[in-house]
Amino acid sequence: MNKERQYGGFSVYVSSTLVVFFIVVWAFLPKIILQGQAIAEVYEILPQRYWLIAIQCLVLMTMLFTYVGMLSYNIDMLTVPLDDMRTITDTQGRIVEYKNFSELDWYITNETSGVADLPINEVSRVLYLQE
Amino acid sequence: MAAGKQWKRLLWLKQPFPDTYTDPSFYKQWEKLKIEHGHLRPHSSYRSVLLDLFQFYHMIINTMLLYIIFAWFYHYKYNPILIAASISSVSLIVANKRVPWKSTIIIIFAMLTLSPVLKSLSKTTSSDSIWTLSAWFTTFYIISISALESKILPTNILLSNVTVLSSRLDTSTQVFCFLLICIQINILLPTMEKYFIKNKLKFLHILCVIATHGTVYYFITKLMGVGITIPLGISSLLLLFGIPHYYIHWESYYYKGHPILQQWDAEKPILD
Amino acid sequence: MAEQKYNIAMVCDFFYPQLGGVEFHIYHLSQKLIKMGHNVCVITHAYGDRTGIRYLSNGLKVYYVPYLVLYRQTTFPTVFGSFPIFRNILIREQIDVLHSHGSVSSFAHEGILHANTMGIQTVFTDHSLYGFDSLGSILVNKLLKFTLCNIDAVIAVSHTCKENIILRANLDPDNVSVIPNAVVSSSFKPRDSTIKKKSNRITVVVICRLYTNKGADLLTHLIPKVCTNNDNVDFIVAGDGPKFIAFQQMIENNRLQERVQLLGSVRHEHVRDVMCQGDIYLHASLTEAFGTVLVEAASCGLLIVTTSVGGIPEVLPEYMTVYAQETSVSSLIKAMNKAIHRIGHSKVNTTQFHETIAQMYDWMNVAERTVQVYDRISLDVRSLNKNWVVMLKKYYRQDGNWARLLYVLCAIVEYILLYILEILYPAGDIDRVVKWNSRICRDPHI
Repeated sequence: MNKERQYGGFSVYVSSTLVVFFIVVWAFLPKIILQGQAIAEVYEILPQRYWLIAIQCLVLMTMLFTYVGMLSYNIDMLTVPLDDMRTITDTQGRIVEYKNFSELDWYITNETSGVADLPINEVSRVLYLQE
Repeated sequence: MAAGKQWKRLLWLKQPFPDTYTDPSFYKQWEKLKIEHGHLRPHSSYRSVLLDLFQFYHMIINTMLLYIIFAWFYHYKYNPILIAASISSVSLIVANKRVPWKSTIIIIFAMLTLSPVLKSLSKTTSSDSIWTLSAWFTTFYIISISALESKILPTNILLSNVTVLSSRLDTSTQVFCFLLICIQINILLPTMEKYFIKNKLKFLHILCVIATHGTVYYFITKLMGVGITIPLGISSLLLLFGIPHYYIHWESYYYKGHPILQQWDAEKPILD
Repeated sequence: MAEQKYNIAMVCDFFYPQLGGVEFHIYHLSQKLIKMGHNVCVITHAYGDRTGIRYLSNGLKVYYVPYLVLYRQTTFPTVFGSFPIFRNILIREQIDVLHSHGSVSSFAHEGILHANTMGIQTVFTDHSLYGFDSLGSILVNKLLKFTLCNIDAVIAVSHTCKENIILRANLDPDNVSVIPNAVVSSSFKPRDSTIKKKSNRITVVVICRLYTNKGADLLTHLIPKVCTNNDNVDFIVAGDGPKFIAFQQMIENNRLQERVQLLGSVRHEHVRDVMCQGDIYLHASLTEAFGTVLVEAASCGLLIVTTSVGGIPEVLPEYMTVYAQETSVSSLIKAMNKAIHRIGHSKVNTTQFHETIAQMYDWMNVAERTVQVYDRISLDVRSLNKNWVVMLKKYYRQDGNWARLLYVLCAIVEYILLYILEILYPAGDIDRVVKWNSRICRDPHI
């Protein structure tokens, strides 16, 4: 079993090396060499040079656009506006339930074994209320 | 440090050693690993790699038989029934012992019904496209049969290949015979060889291998002439004997796996 | 020396609402660190509408950063993409130590890179084991070599895990600490001993995600055999996964509807209730770095039957466990028979398990040991560890002719980005937050 995996790894190694080698050679080969009669038949089978270079440019530009696109997507689509309720609470949170302030104080100074959200107004009171 | 106490490889025990303490036996393993990754790495024997590669090569040759059968029908217009009958009887004799008769008959009738359909399925596609498609199917067939453990995908690819090629044949009889022979050759032949290997029938196995290779090279010569056969034969021999050397070189300098490193891999479940 | 208090940022892709070992590790460790007087915030990506900032009990602050999620809750890896938001949070929170978790979390990797660039101490905890020769693990290991190149300290959850990460990321063994996970023993109490068991039936509990590498195939072969051999044994299987159907088929093929209960996935707070219905906990995993669930089961007073893979042999004392020598059905059955015999003839006293486990595994202890790591790295805070040239040199000294050039390139781009960000959003313009543990107003309601 392990030997088969090793053979698989070897074939991936060899084929990827060959592909890189082919791309480099095919992209940089001068045009004069490619004009012979013997090469013409080979030329028909192999992928066209134009597309080879075009695809590489495409991949490079896609990477660049992904950066810009993803960052804009994060900021414009995923980030909710400041007055949105989702900045404060959500459907998945479990906000602590308390009957009186001393019970709430327990949550403020002690941990719960499961995750429990503190209500934001109490958080603001704790952090920013001046005595 | 508590001198008398021996460090134990346990997490639940509070031990008077720092958290960064490293197992001394690990250092030894590490040293060994470093030395062996520099040079002297364990590698497979040339012979075993060669045998495995030969098996792969043999599988490609076996796959090529499909095209020879196709050439018989398409190019030479041999009598399909004669060939199909003779090959079927040979395979019946060989696989005499364990033939599930019921399913065999069902499959044969299904093929009989399907042959006209298969013949017309890709009739309108141009021949060039058919050859390209078939070449890709063969490539994927070889890759899938050597990479996957299940035989479902390879068999499907093989059938697609046969279907595509069938549309170039003239009559439904030819299509039926072609289908029948392809299934026998691609599924029964490897099974037969496995049976030979399992029962130590070395002579028969070698005979079988020589017969397939002989047939393939004979037909290449007949179709394309000696000018192609000789370079082809020499280059396959060179590759056959050269690749194992390259493989061992790769194994000793580039391969990331090492017997020591495999202790962290997920164990294989043994379902006994 | 006076005990120093740190501002710590925990960074990981995985956090509540997702539930799992890493998530609970981060949560409990952070809570104990807060209790010790440190300030902790967690940085993770937004989960659906849980976005923005949330305060959890005890004032644990969680940043749910809106970020594109690629696959299985892992964010889209871009190396530099998260730099602006990370820089803002790290400055805003005045972070001293950035602590990342999990080697498949892109947030963790990027966080380490950004913190190193900004001169913040970095710590990394690894929670799982990886191989070396598959395509995926080669890529993860290359990435680890890049990010852990300038790490200040690494924590592993078991000795096996430690050796694994040393080899994967080429680390200095003296820089890797072993700090195990722990359990909240108060949530894993054994069943009430005053309630006598009704019959002499023995119940075996299995709680795991039903994946191949958790041993699902072994279990589907093993359960029918154990049921036929022992008439007094029942099974409870909790968990969901791709192999769930295989379990249903196993039950139907062998007519075990009466004896095998298939619960599906169970919420974490109900795990204890499921465990307490059983006498034996069966664990058939094929790879495991630590196995928190084993400790939880032992804490509930169950006898453990387990394969001895990965870090499992380090976790529990001999008398609590029965090990299967290999990951085969036959040796697991042998171990099961031994355990059933021991339980049936009351040869093992499981009543003391809970107390013992509570002493062995405690989050407070984990937090104290983690703070020791922070102390150690903050001692050489003035050294040249975070000097850009020194870090570049370290990147260049990595092996891999092409990889190290790529590392250096990434690092230089990162440094340039820091300058650009400094011009666009000067650090002086970023507000500093009021810290929970250093707030003025202790009692807002009086």
